[in-house]
Amino acid sequence: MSYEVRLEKGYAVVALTGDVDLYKSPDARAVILKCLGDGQHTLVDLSAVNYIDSSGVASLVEGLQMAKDKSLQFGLVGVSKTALNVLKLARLDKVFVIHDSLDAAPAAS
Amino acid sequence: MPGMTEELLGYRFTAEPAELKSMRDRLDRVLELQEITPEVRADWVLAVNEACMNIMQHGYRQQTGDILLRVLRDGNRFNFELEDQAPAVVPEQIQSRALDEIRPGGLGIHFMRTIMDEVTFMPDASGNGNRLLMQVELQES
Repeated sequence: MSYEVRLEKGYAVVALTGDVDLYKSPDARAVILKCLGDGQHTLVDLSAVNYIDSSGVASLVEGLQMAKDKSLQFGLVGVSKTALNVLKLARLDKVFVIHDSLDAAPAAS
Repeated sequence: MPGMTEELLGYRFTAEPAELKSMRDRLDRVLELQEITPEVRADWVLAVNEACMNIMQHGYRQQTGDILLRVLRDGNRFNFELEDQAPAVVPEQIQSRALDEIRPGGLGIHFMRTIMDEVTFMPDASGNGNRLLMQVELQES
């Protein structure tokens, strides 16, 4: 897994690529929590994620909780079919704010 | 053919997170050769991956060790067996958490039990080592 962070529409957009598994999810968790810790509204782009396991999902949940604690906006964009299936299994697909794409996401307010 | 068990895979690997991707790729290829659809393969691979994660995180913890994955097919029934030499687990203590509680962690067992028809933990009576058997019936499409 690799990641890129860019600023768009008032968000830090964390784009993850590859497999977000037990080996790599600590990197995803660290970058997501860093963005939120810096006070940035954050979107996680999952469009290039081939695989995500429960540890990757846990990283997203931690982001969601931190965002709530800090009154920041947090969401997912471009959730791949694979990732959506795992979120559904965890019954979290309705818990996260999910945008089809970055274009579809409203600007952070 | 029902009644004839065929061993599709025997794969021993080091119980380290860095080894998971290789295990997943190998398992996926084996299942692809059995003409299992990508959607079903993704679920089954996820369940096996979660089981391996549990062995690493809650079995071996900081210790090193191996995991042996075996995949067997009997007709439409697939068996995924995992063996380790970690301290024996107490099956009654292995439970998934309530899903209405939104918090990180504790999802692995839920994934395994949701995807598979049967999940059976069999700790070795000696106190060392475990065998985990996950069974699932391939649904005719």
